Amino acid sequence: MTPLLAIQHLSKHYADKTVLDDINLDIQRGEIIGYIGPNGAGKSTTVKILTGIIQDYEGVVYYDGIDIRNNLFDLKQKLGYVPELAELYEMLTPKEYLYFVGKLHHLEDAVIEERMQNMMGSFGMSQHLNERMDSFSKGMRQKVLLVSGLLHNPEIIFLDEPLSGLDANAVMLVKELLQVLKQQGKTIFYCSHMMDVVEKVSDRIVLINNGKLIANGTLAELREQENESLEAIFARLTHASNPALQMRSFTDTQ
Amino acid sequence: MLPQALWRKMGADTEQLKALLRVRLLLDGRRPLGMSFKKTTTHKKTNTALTSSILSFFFGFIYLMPILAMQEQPIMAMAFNYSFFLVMIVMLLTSDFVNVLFDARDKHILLPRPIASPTLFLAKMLHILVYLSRSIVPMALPSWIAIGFVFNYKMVLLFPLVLLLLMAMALFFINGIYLLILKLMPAHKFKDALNTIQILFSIVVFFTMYIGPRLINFDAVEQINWQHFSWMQYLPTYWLAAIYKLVGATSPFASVGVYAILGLITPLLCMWIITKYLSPSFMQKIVAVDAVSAQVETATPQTGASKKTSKSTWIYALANKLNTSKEAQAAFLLTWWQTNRSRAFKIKVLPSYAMMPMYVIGMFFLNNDKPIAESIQLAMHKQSTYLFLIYMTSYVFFNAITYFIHSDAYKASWVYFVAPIAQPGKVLWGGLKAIWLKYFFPFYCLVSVLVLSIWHWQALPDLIIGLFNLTIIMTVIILLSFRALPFSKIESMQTQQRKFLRGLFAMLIPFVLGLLHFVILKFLWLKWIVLVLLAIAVYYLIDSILQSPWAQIKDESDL
Repeated sequence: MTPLLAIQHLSKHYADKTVLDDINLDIQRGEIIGYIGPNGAGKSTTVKILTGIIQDYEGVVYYDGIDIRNNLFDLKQKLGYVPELAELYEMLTPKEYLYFVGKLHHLEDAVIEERMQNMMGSFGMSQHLNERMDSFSKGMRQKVLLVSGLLHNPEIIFLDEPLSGLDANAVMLVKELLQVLKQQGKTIFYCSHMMDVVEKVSDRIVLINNGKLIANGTLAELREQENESLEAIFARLTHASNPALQMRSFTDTQ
Repeated sequence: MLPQALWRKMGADTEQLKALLRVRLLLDGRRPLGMSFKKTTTHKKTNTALTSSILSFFFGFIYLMPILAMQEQPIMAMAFNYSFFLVMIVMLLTSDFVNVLFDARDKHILLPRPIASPTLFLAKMLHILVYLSRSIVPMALPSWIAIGFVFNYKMVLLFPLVLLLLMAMALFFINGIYLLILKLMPAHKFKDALNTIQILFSIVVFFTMYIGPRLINFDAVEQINWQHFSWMQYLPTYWLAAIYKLVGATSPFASVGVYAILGLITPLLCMWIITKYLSPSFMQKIVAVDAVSAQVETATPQTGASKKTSKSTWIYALANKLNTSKEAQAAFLLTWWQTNRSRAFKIKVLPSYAMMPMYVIGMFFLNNDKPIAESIQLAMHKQSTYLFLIYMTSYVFFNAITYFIHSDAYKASWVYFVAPIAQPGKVLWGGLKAIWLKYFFPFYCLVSVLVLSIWHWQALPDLIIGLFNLTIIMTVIILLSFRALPFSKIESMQTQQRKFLRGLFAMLIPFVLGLLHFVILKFLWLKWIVLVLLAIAVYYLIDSILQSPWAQIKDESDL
């Protein structure tokens, strides 16, 4: 079966620095991929390439069998993206912002209105639709971003730290949302540091470190021993040193 | 760094001051990565800085006028020279540097740290002073050199000191006013007051710049009765010029020595008053201003909010009516809302509406020696008068199109890059249409009503030609200089400097088109032919904006 997204020999360099080094990965339709790695490993760069924000890279990315360099417009019609940092035009109200984004995705006004009301309502944000976002908390902005990324009913969804700033109730809502999206057959590329969530929602886990793909498999496949947590797997594969020892040297300098 | 004892005396921690200033200058030199993540090369940066300095240097020749005209009156010549410089400095300070003084990032980065108010305030002052010097020093070079030839070498030696005092005085005076208002006003009113003051400042400065040179006939300076200019003695720029008395320069007025002392003392006194009485409360006030603005927003009652929505539904309909593509509708709406709410945008654009009538006033009242009523009568009989009015309207939209691509929230523009936009030109055109409709067309209609009421229907073809020509000017400026998506760029100190100088040159386009229009003024049949040609030109220019591919949409490093 042709994978929905096929990444072949993907590399990216900034001057002398290699950010991504020969990444190869296939993503099947309807899969939830947990894309994890230490800070600066290259997760966000991967997402920016896959969403068409970064276009100067080496290697090939196929979407539905076609090189995205030749088919970026089609890919953008079908992708939803929630970036790591909640950057939005905060002088607008959520309603205005969602109209703006919806129109960029060629949605009709009535469709935008209906979906916006439903999605914002699900996040308990209906009463804030007409307030300017510059007074919003980080979590409230994140909810608007999540809605803006899903408003056009995308086929494949890229979530870069989507739980950032959300309270416990909202985190539960998003976890539930991921399951609903999976049932609808959506493909989800999920980047996060929150291992417990990745562990629970992902069909397959992909781990990168220093720009290299170092693990790719289901949680069971990645475990060396029974009941090993994803956090432990992460530490083992990224060769993280003992945190207690590291922090001792941190406090010793004070 | 400059005298540490002085900074300490002013209540600053010199180590912190050094660190703050170093990081601010470092940040100015590093422009953020654009969406395409291209890095600006050092070579390019150096070239830009050099070009900017060369342009400033040539611009400085304008200031030579009083020095060359008043060779017998060195102190008066320098007083006029410094007055012109003061206007330029205030112009630079008023709109651009207030963002440095009230930088929103301070709240999160600096305010939680143990930094005393005077330290932060002085760091900001010195930062601005460094940037100001980069524009003002090349601009002052022609005057500096000319003094050596026209007056004497002693004045040449003293010139840098007086220029520094002038910059310090202007800087502390302007910021002193801001701080005074900050001290006297309740925090929730400060932002509104800031808007008003900046607009008023801009108008006063513009008025002075426009009318100032007309107060003196530089061609007949020998016949001037200096006693008519005795009011000059009350201007701080005269006090600064009076410092040249110390090296033997002469003035037509007595007590010049007293004014020389005033010239030396005033800048220092300004600094002392500000640091002693105003800057200690600076940090608390910034926090208060920010806190209040947040509270005001969150406290918006539900009823008020829903009222706002029902009021603004017409704009959705208008956007749909005027734009066929969805991406143009999106940009139209974004531009409409953002320009309604962005303080920075309003400060930069709204003063132009007050300045244009001033140009007109200047034209009617100050351009000749005749009585005012006669001047008006005379002007109303000339067709060229309404051409002047028509083309002056370009002034109001120039600022609007310059600033609608910039925003502090430029990072939010990622959304353009992940959306399925095949032709980004449509987005640009949607935004530009909103600017045209909001900031140009109503004003042009107003001018048209005025022109038609005075010159009647004979002016109609010219008004239509003017409308086409001005739309052409707008599209050409966009195509040449500002082909970027709405609110997708950050405005840095460097872009501000470049834009200011670029703006001076861009103003030549309306002048040239106005001149060509003047040539065909008497030939009605020719006007109709020109009109058809202009309509075709407008069509093609708009089309080339619409067809702009992604590769031509400027990324951050190009601007």
